[in-house]
Amino acid sequence: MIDFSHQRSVWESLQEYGRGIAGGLMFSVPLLFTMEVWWAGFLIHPWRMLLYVLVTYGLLLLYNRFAGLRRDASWWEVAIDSVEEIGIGLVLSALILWLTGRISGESQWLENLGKIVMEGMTIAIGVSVGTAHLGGSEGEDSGKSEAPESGSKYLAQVAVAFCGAVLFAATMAPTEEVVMLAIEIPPLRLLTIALMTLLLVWLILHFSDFRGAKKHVDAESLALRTRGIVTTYAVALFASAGSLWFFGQFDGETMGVCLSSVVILGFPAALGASAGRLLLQVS
Amino acid sequence: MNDPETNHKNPLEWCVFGVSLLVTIGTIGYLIVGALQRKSGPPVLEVNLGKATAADSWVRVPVSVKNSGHSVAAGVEVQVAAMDGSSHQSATLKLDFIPIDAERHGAVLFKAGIDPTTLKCEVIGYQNP
Repeated sequence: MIDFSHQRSVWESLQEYGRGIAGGLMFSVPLLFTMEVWWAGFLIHPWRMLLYVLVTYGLLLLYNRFAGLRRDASWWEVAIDSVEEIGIGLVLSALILWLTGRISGESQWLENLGKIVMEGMTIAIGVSVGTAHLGGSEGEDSGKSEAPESGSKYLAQVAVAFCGAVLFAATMAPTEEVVMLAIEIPPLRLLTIALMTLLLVWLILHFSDFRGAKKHVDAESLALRTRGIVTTYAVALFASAGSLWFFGQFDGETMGVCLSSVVILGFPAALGASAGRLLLQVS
Repeated sequence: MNDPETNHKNPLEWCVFGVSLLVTIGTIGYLIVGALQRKSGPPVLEVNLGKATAADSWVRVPVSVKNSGHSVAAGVEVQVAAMDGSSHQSATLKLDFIPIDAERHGAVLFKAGIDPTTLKCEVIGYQNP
């Protein structure tokens, strides 16, 4: 028997699903109108799409458990909520793609499914974030605020940073512009981009006194600050590489172009990772 | 309202979870089937012409290209030619992508005067995406 952390009326549930739908569409609407993501639906091998679904589910588990609305929930409850978010993402994706004529009965079923999956996973992440952050009165749905152990707190921050990085990186990873920049930008300028990205992370996490910085960012010593900056950028680079690989942007490219793409996409991904740590956590 | 021993999901939440579980499992299942059925190999492109129709001073010829191969074809170029008296006219149709087992449609235009019985078509090139 599963112990649930909360109980809501049907009306409250409807409102929460409404927030999730709004959040899902807000975060994914750029992708829903991006050609390269539609093309990814038939260009990407089904095994890779399957991995994309499984990784997204894992991401949702981490986010819901460590940063979302259900930090006091059991893993079973988090797993159930994550399945709901995936399902809502897929259904919303199918609806929007059908409305815009991107899928139809005339197309092959795998082509239609591919488009739905490639769009639906970002919507699912947006549903989770929207559910957690677009709430009105907190009431009894605010979850516990027990301070976790430092080890699990660090992992929780890594998980949130990864979610934020993926949200930002996934909107740009499928586009041709990233690879085009990777081919054209000389190495010295690429290095400058990397250094500026690190500076931006420091600016957001430690300098600008963003709301939530004092609570979620360890800044007691230079070593902790350095760890935070390096970890956040590393997470962003990992999210950047993963997003580019999922959307097939590494296929057929040289190692140099791939690395350059990761650094270039790492800039917006780091923005998402650092800002995400402050903005994507329910206080 | 917040006692873990008595908290439970309402019927709407269970319905949403049930539908979501079916959709998710179905999606995963179809992806597995699609992955197992996918073979490697080049695109195999077959082009067909529709019935030529006259409009003003032009003749419109529908073109359809089907990919029955095992890879997506990108930048597909189809050339259509026809005799116009003793000379000939040709037109080219370009299609961005033709996915596996998919068919794409378009049309080419000729100046009036061609003999529709002499229409010939062929795929003259494509890219690997």
